[in-house]
Amino acid sequence: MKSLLRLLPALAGLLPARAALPSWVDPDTGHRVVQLSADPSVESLYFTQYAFTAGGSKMVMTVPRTGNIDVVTLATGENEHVYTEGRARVVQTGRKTGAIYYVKGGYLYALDPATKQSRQLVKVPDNGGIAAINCDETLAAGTITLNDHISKDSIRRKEGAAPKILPGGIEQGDIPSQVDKHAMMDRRLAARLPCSLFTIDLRTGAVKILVQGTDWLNHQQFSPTDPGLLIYAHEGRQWKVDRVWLIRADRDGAKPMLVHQRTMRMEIAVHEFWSNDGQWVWYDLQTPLSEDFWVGGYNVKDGRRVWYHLPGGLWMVHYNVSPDGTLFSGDGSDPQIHYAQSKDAKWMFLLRPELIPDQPGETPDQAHMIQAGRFVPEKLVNLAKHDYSLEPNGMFSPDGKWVIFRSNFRGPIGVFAVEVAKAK
Amino acid sequence: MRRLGLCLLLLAGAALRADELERPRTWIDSASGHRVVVFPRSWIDPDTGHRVTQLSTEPGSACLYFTQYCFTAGGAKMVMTTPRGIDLVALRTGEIEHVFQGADRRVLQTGRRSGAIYYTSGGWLCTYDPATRETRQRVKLPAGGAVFSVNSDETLVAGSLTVGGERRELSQRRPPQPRGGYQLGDGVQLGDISPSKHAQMDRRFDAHLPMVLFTLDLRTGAYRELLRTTDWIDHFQFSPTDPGLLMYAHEGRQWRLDRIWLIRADQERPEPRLVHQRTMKMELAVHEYWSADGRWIWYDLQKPISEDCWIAGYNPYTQERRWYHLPPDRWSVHYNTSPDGKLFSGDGSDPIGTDELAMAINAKWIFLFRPELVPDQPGETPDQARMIRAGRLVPEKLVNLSEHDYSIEPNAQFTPDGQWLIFRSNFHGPIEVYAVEVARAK
Repeated sequence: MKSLLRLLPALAGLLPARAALPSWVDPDTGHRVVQLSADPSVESLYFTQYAFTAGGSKMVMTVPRTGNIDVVTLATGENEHVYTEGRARVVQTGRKTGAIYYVKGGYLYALDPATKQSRQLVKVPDNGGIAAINCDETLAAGTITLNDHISKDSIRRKEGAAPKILPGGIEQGDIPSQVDKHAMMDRRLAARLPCSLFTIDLRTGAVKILVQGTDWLNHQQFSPTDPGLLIYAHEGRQWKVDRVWLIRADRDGAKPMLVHQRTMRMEIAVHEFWSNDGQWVWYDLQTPLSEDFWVGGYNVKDGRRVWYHLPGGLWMVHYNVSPDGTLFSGDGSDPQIHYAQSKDAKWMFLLRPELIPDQPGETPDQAHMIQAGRFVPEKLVNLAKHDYSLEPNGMFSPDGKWVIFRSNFRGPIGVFAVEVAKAK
Repeated sequence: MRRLGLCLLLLAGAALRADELERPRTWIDSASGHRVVVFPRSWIDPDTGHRVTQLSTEPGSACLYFTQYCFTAGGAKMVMTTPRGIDLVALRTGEIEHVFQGADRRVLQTGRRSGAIYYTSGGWLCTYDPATRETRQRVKLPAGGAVFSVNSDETLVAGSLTVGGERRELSQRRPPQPRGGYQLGDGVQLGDISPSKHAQMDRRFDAHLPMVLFTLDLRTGAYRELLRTTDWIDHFQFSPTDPGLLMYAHEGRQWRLDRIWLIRADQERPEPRLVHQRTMKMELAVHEYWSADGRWIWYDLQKPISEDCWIAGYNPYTQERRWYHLPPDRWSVHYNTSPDGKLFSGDGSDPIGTDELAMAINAKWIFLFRPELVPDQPGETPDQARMIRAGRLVPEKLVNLSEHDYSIEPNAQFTPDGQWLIFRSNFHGPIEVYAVEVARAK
């Protein structure tokens, strides 16, 4: 009996599971959309969290209501419940082993999705949280904050907490209300709580403090290729902070390096993410807020900067980059909800970058200058029915052929993929 | 009943006649068989609702370059150049005075204090006083030198010379004739755009000829060198209010240089100060000009070229910076600012028929731009005080220039009362000078 049960998932893999999940060609874009989540209220990870396993053939999804974890086979749409004990908060998958790293009850675990076996790794420091695992899976990074009653009281989605259901049955998403969230952020930034950026050695459990102070630190992301390189954010309303920073986690006394220096009032740099090859840090750059939109890039190897301009006042909640670095995605936006008043922006977008060509006669000082370009947008999915209080969190599949996103455009929250190529 | 009908007919007739006055009249000349079009002298642009009035009466007339101060008689009159010479036009009545005949005088500007017309002729800087009609030779120019700008209290004129003279192959070649012909006696504006212009600019830029920036004292004639350089310098503009402050440009293709500089003409060994530092490839800052109060330098900022366009401002006294963002497809050949500093103008642009790299679509209009600052959000941080203050420009169309050939730059300037914009155009064929009312017609 037991062996038969073990066989079941394997058998399920042979079944045409895809047939059970809806798939259609968006009539407004000509791109195929596939539903990936079988159960309601299953979500994909945040757009910066690495979510792929089994050599890129499978992807982690979470069930925020319960804190359970599902895995979907991208080629077939087969859904598996790989973790059903609840109250887990997924950090990311390991880029080397494919293990699913999650935090539960103050400990970091690694779950092997193939065997569904979890291994307790290290204890999370008191008042700490873990946000990232480095590429060779030897370190985790996070922050320790003392006396934080402000964000804890206000951030709704605490570990395993049930989301509120809004009138009309729509699950409340990431933005409980802009007013509440922004007021909380201002209070939290102004409180100047003692906050430390730390790493923890996954083999020995040794905790190392990298940065200590009263800046509000957040959004740690290890390089996908350099195990010692970490980006993190100064959190807060973005026009009050220089947000994106780099630090070497493998050097004692390493100094943080600012990735983008604001020079304009109401300029913001936000929603930073790594390129797949670990060469570029990309970020949403607004010069100023809601007026002039770019995706700014900084090359951590040679210091080059590339800025891609968004045409016609188009802004996206999040951007992402394809594994080969040649294409970008954008989640679109809704002027009803966002500061940016972009017109006709409720779409998933594909963004093709073009560099502005240099004219003849380059001068020596140009070598240190920003190289500018522009994005040529292509619409992938009509999100007219999407409620943007839920962020789509678009990310490319490891083969670069799909953009995965979550949406409530069909009612309940689900995970979908849209094909980058147009349907034949 | 018959009487009422007659009245209605009369009313309709009257309305028709008034309306007809504002429309081009056209007929076929019986002798030649050619179509004849007579444009009205004043009309309301049907696409914008703004009144346009023709100021010049001779084909080939032009207003001065957009940075040249051209008003006199307390702002009531304006200098124009015509194929015949130099005229003054009374802005209120349209009455024209012929000041000079002939093409041998080059107008610099009018004096902001005296209202005199400054011009060069036969190697001398001269003035003409429109009130007394008196002409005076003021200072002799140094050999090979040219002067361009008179300071606000009319004590200094600034100019440049190239040591050893310009080499002939580097000097400007006359470009193909634009529609409407050239205006004579107008060295600055001659042939604004031509296919050979950029190649010629590159040759001149790369030559790095030694140049001198000098001033001449208008009372003593004293020659003073402010700067010796192998940069190609050009576009000298004294502040309209600070007699010692001079702006000048490093000339050349704008993405190859940091263009806009300030220098104090009233200090010993003055250090030039850069107004705008490029940080992006193909970024350019160009077409700089002073605000009427002398507190701001405004310039066309493209970051990068054609893709993201601003009117950027720098206050040389407080180091404040303001950048007003243009909506897509509103890049204009030149911008200008109203005397009270509250409004901006744009000449519009056309990518066709010019080799400008900036590409704005459907931008063949004279524009009015209303600036709006992006509001600060609560909680200013100390570092914000030194940052650029950003805003945006809300455009309004003033004149449809769809028939204008942009190889002639419109060079719009606000009148001193701020109620009209002066520009030149060939949209009716020959180049003429027009004014468009800033307020919409009732």
